[in-house]
Amino acid sequence: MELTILNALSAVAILFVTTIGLAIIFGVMGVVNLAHGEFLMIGAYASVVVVNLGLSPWLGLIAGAIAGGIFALIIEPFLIRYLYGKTMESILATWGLGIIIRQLVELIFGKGYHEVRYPITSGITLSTAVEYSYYRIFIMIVAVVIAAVLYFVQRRTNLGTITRAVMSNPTLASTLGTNVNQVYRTAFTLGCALTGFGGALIAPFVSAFPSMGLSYVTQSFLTILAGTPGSLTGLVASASLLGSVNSVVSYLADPVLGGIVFVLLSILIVTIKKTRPSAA
Amino acid sequence: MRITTEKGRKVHFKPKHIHLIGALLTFGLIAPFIFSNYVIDDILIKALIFALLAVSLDLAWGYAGILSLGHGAFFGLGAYIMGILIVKTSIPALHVLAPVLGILGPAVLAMILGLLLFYTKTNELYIAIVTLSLSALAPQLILRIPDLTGGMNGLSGIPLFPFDARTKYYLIFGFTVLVMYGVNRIVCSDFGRLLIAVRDNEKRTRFLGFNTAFIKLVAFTLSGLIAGIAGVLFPPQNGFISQTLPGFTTSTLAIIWVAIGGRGSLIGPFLATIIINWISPQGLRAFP
Repeated sequence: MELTILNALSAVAILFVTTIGLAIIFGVMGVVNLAHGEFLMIGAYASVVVVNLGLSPWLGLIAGAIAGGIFALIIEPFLIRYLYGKTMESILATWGLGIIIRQLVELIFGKGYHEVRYPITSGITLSTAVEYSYYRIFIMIVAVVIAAVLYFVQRRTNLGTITRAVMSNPTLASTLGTNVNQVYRTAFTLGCALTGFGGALIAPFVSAFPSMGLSYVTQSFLTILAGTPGSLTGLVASASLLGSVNSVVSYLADPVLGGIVFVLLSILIVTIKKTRPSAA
Repeated sequence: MRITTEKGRKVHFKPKHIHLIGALLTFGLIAPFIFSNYVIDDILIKALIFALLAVSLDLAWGYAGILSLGHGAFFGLGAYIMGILIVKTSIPALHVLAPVLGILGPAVLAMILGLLLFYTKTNELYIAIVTLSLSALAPQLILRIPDLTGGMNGLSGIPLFPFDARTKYYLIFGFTVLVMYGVNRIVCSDFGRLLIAVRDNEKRTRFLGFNTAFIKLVAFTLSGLIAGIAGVLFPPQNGFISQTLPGFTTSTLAIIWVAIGGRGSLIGPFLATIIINWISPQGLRAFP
C-alpha cells in the first residue's frame, strides 16, 4: 500500500520535473515546444557524457541543466525568436526541430541505450521489507524545491513581476519600458535548462536513448493544458492528479491503459474547467 | 476555386488545377508502359496508397483546419483490422467483410475522437496533442496484444493481391482516382465551402449560425474513413504490417507530405506524396 502511494508520489514528481520547463516556455511566450522531449533527451545524454568521463552523476545533473541552457541559447536566435506568440506555427517548427535533434543525437551516439548510474544507490526500507530508492525520494524533494523556488520568484521578485506583466499583456509591458524579447529569451533559456535538468534527473531510470522524449511530450502538454497554461499552482494540481491516476492505473492494470486514462482524464479536466468562470 | 453559376441559383466549383489533373491522369495511365515492374509494384502502388492517406489528412487539416499529428493511427488501424481479420480468423464471411470493417473502424475512431474533442471547448493545440498521443499509444497497444497482432514480429503472411503487377496497378490507380473524385466532390460542394469557413474563422462561422462542431466532426470522420481506405489497401500490397505503422513516423510523414504539397488543395499533397515516395527509395539506395 505504502509502495503504491510512494510510487504515485514519485510519478507526480517526475511528471512535474519533466513538465515545468515546458510550462514556463508555453506560459510565458505561448510557444509550443514540441521538441521538449528532445531537450529532455539532451539533458539525459549530457549526463551520460559526464558519467562516461568518470565524473560523479551529480555533476551529470548539473551538466544536463547546462546543456539544456546552451541549446536554448543556440536555437533561440535561429528559430524560436520567430515563433513568439504563434501557437500553430511553433507546433510545426518545433516538431521539425525535434526530429532534427533526434537524428543528430542518433548520428553521434547511435541508436542504442546508454545507461546512467544512479547518484544514490541505496534505499530506505519500508515496513514490508521492501527497499524504496533514496533517489526517488530525492526527486520528490527536488520537485517540491523547484515548485517552491519558482513560486517565490514569481510572486516576490522583480523578475517574476516583470514576467507576469509580459505574460498578461506584452504590448503594454513593452510600452512601460520592459524589453519583452529579453524576458522571452530568459524564460526560454530557463525553461530549457530546467528541462535538461529534468532529463538528466530521469536518465538513471529509463536509460538514455534517442526517442526517449516522445512519451514525455504528450504527457507534459496534456498536464499543462489541464492545469491552465501559465499557472504554477495549476500545473502542480494537474500534475498531482494526472500523475497519480496514471501511476495507480498503470500499476493495477496496464501502462497503456494508464496512458489512455491520462488522455481522457485531461480532456475531462479541461472540459470541466472551461464551464466555470476563469480566475486568471 | 472558380465559381461558375449555372442555371438557377446553384453555385458550382471547379477544381483549379484541371490541367495538372489531366496531365497526372495521362501519366498515370501510361506509367506501366514506361517503367519496370519493380517500380510500378513496389514504389508507385505504395505511393498511391500513401497519397490517399495524405489526402485524408489534407481534408482534415487543409480544409477543416484540424491539425492531426497522429493520422498514421487511423491508417494503421485500418491496416491492422484488415490484417487481423484475414490472417487470424478463418470465417470466410469475415474475410470478405475485412475491408469494410477496416474502413469503418478508423472512421468510427475518428468520430469518437471528434465527439470528445470538438464538442468540449478544447482548442487547436489540444487536438494536436491528443492526436499525437493517439499515434504514440497505438503501437504500444499493438504490442500489448501479441496474440492478435503479432506483437513485435508484426503480422505477416497476409495474402497479396492476386493480380500481376500491371493489373494491380491499374486497379489501384482506378480506385485511387475514384476516391479522389469523391473527395473532390466533397470539397467542391457547399459543405466544402463550410469547411474552409470553419478553417479560416470558426467563431464567425458559428456566429453565422452553423454548428461548427458538427461540421468538424463530419470532416474528421470522413478523413478517418479515407485514411481507413488507404489502410486496408496496404496489407495486401505489402504482405506484412508491424507496430510502427500507426506510429509517429507515418503520422509525421503524412504531415510532411501535406505541408510540402500545400494543404488546402487536394492535388498538391497527392502529387507531393507520389514524388516523395518515388524519390526517397532511390535516394535511400544511393546513400545507405
